[in-house]
Amino acid sequence: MKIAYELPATVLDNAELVRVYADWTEDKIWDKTGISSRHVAASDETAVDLAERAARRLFREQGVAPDSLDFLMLCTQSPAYRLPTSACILQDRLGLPTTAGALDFNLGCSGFIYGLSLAKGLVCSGAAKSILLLTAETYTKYIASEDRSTRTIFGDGAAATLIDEATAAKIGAFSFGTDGSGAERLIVRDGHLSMDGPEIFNFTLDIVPRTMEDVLVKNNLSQGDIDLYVFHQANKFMLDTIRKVNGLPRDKFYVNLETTGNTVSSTIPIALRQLEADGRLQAGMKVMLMGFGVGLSWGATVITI
Amino acid sequence: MTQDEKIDTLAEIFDRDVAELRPDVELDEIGWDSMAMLSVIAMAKTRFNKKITGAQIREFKTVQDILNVME
Repeated sequence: MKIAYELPATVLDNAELVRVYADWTEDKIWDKTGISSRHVAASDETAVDLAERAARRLFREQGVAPDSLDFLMLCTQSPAYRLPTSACILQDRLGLPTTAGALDFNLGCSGFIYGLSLAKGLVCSGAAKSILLLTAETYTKYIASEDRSTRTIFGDGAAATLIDEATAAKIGAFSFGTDGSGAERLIVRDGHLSMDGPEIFNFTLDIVPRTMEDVLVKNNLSQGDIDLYVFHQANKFMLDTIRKVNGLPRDKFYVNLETTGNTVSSTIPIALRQLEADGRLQAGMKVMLMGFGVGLSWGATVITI
Repeated sequence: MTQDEKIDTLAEIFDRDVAELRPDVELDEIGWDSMAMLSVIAMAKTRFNKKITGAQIREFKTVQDILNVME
């Protein structure tokens, strides 16, 4: 899968957080979250700007020509404007043909999985051949300065993923889930992000086991067939607990958000790009992807490398 | 798990000395923040297979309230 990502230049490290929240230590933040620094968008830097840079990096590093793309989709909950659609702005900025389709969709931590499913659907139905899937968030703009728990976890960033016919063929069946009764658990109201950490944590512990089971059944696989689990990188503590509760082997369960934090819909593509750069992805491997969070919304699939 | 083992477990979670974790100690005095709450929920789930809801954990006032779920 061809993927590139971009992070804003400004870095917020644990030393800076400890200066503001005096009763925490750098070690404690690192131990619990697995995050040592996160990137924060500048006041004049939008999710659309980050998405544009991620796409340009994809074009440059992976040899993707913008005029070869016939569809663009942007997953964001921090659009540049209420209207027009940010994906339309990006069509122009990135030089995609005016014959290309473009749309935004509003999902958070499950967004990359849903993006893969929509892109696969468009390719398999013959409606599009080469899709640019962009995920971009600037959650830090929603975080009140005194809200240390979300400020510690979330970082801004964007990822660009190419889904063409060859890629779509390697994306397996999907498992989806939605529970809007939990809408208030993670919500932006009056411009400010509010998170019910304990309930989000419980929700995740509830849905991960049954979603794992469902996606395995739908792909005719058993747990032993999975070479790697790449789940939404919410925070290290949550991932460690998920791994323990589900009895997953540590060496097959990816955790890396040290310098990015939780970038919402971009954590999975960023993880896949890091794994590729580290030489940990080999042809034929089966990788389970799962996203879960705001909505509440979740989804999973299995890709073949 | 004995009472001493439970207190040891809590000492780890709160990063405090066992002497500070008497059952009647108020949680607010030993750093009852969002991270501590998540740690207690995870501990109850992984070691006792018990679910503590967000509403329940916000009702916890003393160390004894946590000890009560460690059964």
